[in-house]
Amino acid sequence: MFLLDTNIIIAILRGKQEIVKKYQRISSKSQPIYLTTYTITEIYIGFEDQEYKQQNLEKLNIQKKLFDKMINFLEAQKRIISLDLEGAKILGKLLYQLKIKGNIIPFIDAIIAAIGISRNLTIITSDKNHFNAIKTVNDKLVVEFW
Amino acid sequence: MTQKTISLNEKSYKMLKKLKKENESYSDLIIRLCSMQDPFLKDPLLEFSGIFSDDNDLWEEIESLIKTYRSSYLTNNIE
Repeated sequence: MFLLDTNIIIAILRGKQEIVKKYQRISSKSQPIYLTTYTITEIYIGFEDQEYKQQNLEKLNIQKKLFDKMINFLEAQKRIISLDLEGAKILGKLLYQLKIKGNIIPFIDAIIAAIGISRNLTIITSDKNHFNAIKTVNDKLVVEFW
Repeated sequence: MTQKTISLNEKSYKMLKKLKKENESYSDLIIRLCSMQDPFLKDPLLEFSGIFSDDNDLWEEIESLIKTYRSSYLTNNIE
């Protein structure tokens, strides 16, 4: 079972062939593949920024509609997940351990890691540094770097 | 595998027969037809792959913005 980070979702939606091929391989294994609500938040920051700047509005509007349609399908398949009670406890431990070790990482990376650990998911991301830093404080984290 | 029996009227049977490919079972035919109609049976991420592909600069900019946002909220900010 897998959990895709935002950078992987965007790469798939941008049609980056190397990533799409890797995704097709795991998708064909019929194992659940999830994304988090935080990825949707991040992509919406991008939409909002372009709307605020009044840039690429026509194109962006189409892309946003397609993205919304896609996430509705994913939601219907129960593939969009968030931090639950168990994840919240793990996150607390992670944040404390990272602080003790003096490792500074983005908060969202820690949340995604906690979701992955709590649900036994393999996280797929392109972000080696931060997720490797989390592994130093919790060896239950399983990550694949694409 | 468990088998289920369904009844069809003459008209729907003929329509299915027309659509059935050589060496395709009726079960496989129904799965193929349902997959064409129902995106829930497919993987939406693959179905929608490439929807952001027609403007490289735009998505480079958005990705860079997302990285900036992520880096703005660091674990050491939490006291």
